[in-house]
Amino acid sequence: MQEKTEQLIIATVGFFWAFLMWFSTAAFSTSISSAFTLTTGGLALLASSALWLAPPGRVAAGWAADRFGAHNIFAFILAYSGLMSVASAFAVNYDVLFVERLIVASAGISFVVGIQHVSQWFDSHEIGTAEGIYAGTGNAGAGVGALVLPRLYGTNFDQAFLHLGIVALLIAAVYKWRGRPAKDRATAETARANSNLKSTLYVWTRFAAIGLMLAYAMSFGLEIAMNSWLPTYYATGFGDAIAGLGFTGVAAIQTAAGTFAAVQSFNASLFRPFSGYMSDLWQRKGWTPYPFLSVEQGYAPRVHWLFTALCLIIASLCALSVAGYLGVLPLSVVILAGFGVCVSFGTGGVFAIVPVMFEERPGVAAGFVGGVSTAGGIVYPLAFGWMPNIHSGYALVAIGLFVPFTLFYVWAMRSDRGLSTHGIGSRERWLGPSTETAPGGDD
Amino acid sequence: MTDADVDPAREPWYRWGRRVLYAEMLIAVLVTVFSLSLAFMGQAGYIA
Repeated sequence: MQEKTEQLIIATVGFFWAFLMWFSTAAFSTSISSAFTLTTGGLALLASSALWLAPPGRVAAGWAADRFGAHNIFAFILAYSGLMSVASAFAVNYDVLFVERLIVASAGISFVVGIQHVSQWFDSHEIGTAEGIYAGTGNAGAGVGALVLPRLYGTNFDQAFLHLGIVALLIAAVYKWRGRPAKDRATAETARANSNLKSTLYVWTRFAAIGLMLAYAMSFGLEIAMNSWLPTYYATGFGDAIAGLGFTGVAAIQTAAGTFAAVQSFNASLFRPFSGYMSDLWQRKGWTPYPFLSVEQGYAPRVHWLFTALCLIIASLCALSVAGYLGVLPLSVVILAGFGVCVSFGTGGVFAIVPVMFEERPGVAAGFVGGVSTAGGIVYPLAFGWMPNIHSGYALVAIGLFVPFTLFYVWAMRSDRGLSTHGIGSRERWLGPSTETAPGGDD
Repeated sequence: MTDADVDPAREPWYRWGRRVLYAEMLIAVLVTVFSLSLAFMGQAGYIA
């Protein structure tokens, strides 16, 4: 087996397990609620807490991956979250359990560490497929957790948390033992040398990086928002139609609504590698169909593929609103399945670009793009729920937020100027004259 | 050498990588069809 293949497998398994732990609390929310007699508000707080640490945590983890090596940081994240998962199995009251599960949920920050790790091993012509396999398979951990854990453990969430934590510790040991930070010393050294505050500010102020961050907020931010919102949406917006299928009672309607919601989650995760593959294909073929986007950059075809994905996300989100207004449940669910695929095109498309665009600062860039955008998972459900008609929230977000996001993306990517000058402040402003900077330059 | 000159399909990892992504898409389609067919027959609960 090639060494880079081994590194991809290690990163993928590590991220799959981290994602499984991230959303394992949600899989047992009903059991936890029953065991600790939680109110509806308390249950909602527990569900939303899974996302709290992701934005700042991912930013820090990305920087740390560049600085200390992804194999060290990933092993550390799995180790502390695994230990905390074991501890949560013995929690005696809800307050302790809540804090411990909050820390376990921070395992989700490992995403950007793995992105950095894979980018340090794979070349630019194959990076989309490699990152897609890593992230897509890992994302599926959430769906697999929802599918398997309750069936395997019933209401014994403490046993599940114990076993998940022990396996996480084992994977952490393997990651530390077999993981290597990069394909060669020079690559690892370049990333390490560029992991300083000025470098971070340089990345954060590039318009292209901000455009990619917004694109990821439109795709992954939306994916995790829909994970939490869709069961409520179908149970509320299509309650009568679901009852008409033979699901009577609150529990049965919730189960049916959850089934429809899970379809989105599975498609958004499992089509993600295909999106990375498509990005590689567009790059190889040199496809640049949009005249208003730059064709000068070396990664231009990948930018064009991502624009296609963003348009599909907006269109499918509006179609969900239309299906809701029409009140046709089968149509809504079919559109939802397609919507999941469109979202995967966005998530896979973004991280086929980030490591190529910021070749010398992959962790810092992945932390910014993958971290800040996660806030969408908290914001969108609020917007969906704010509208008086439950079906109109999708169109509101699509037109009110996603169209401006996409316009910014187009504006950022239409410029033929390189990264160094197309941003707030020039490269020299942030990094100083090129002779005094660390190796690398992303431009 | 540009990206256009490189054919990643020649590399061993890329061959199984493509199989993995095809398999994942197939799983997604099968889970979707199976679950929705159960749901519309009034037997949801497989992946919920």
